[in-house]
Amino acid sequence: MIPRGDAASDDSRLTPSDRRKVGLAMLVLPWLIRLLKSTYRIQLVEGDVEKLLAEKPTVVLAGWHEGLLLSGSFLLERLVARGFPLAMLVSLSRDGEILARVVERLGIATVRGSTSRGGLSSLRRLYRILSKSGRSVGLAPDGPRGPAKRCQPGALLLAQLAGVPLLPIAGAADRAWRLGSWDRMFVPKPFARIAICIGEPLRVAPDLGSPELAVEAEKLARLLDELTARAAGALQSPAC
Amino acid sequence: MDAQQKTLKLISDISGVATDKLKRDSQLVADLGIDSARALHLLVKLEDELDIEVDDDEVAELQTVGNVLDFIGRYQAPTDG
Repeated sequence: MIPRGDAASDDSRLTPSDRRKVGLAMLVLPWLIRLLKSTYRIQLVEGDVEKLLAEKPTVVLAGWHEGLLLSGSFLLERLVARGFPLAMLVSLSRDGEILARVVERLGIATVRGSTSRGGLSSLRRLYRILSKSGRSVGLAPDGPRGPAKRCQPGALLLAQLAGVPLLPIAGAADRAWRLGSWDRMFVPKPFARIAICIGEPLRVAPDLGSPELAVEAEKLARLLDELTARAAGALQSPAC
Repeated sequence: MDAQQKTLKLISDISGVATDKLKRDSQLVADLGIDSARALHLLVKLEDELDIEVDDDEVAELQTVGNVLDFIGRYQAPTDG
């Protein structure tokens, strides 16, 4: 049994060398991200941000891990910067420690953990954030280690537990690097055009068990693929 | 309602099995049909109702109704006594 409390950044696991890397990353990354982000032209193709800002509903935002920087850029600029309270799940790895600190510096609260390894406590912490703090939660349903674009039920289960809607979000960029990581994450190049699609809110019925949630996860995967395709399609239009 | 009664009520609500039909050796999964999604609901409700946090390692030990009651009993004992 452990006392109640949410684990955020914790450098007790880090070696002195790791701490130096984290320190260096903290000097460079937030500045670099803000600089890159300032060059992006972001367009919301589908979704109602003004409604989200006006009502500030507590939601689970779910998008593919490969598009984390695309949807993240949008969320930072259009929601978080305008007072929308958001938290995200960041892995317990050493890279996760750097990511968590950078994300917190940018205004997003973090919960350390994963929905697979140590997943129960992570889901319960996220549930508490949703139900007690009124902060929305963003996570990748195929994270933290994939397989890419295969939806695990964690995000749906979280929405079901907290009784809040799940908002699917997807993005595309007209020019981007792709990392060599498991998710082949998109890193939008400077001056990229980014298109974002936010789907209709999904309600997860409270009586669904694991088999039904697995079916819903497959539907969510198809929906995220469709939203991604529509975002990519919008980039073909000169209006974007 | 004490902690043990609250626990039985929660198990009953989640599983749909009446409290008077619950036995100490009832298996949460095999007998009561509490799958992983419903188990998470049970954990969250237990934590909220009893203001505790159950560690992931301890969750694996909770296989039967008796395990859950004993666990709650152990947790309650220091504060009650």
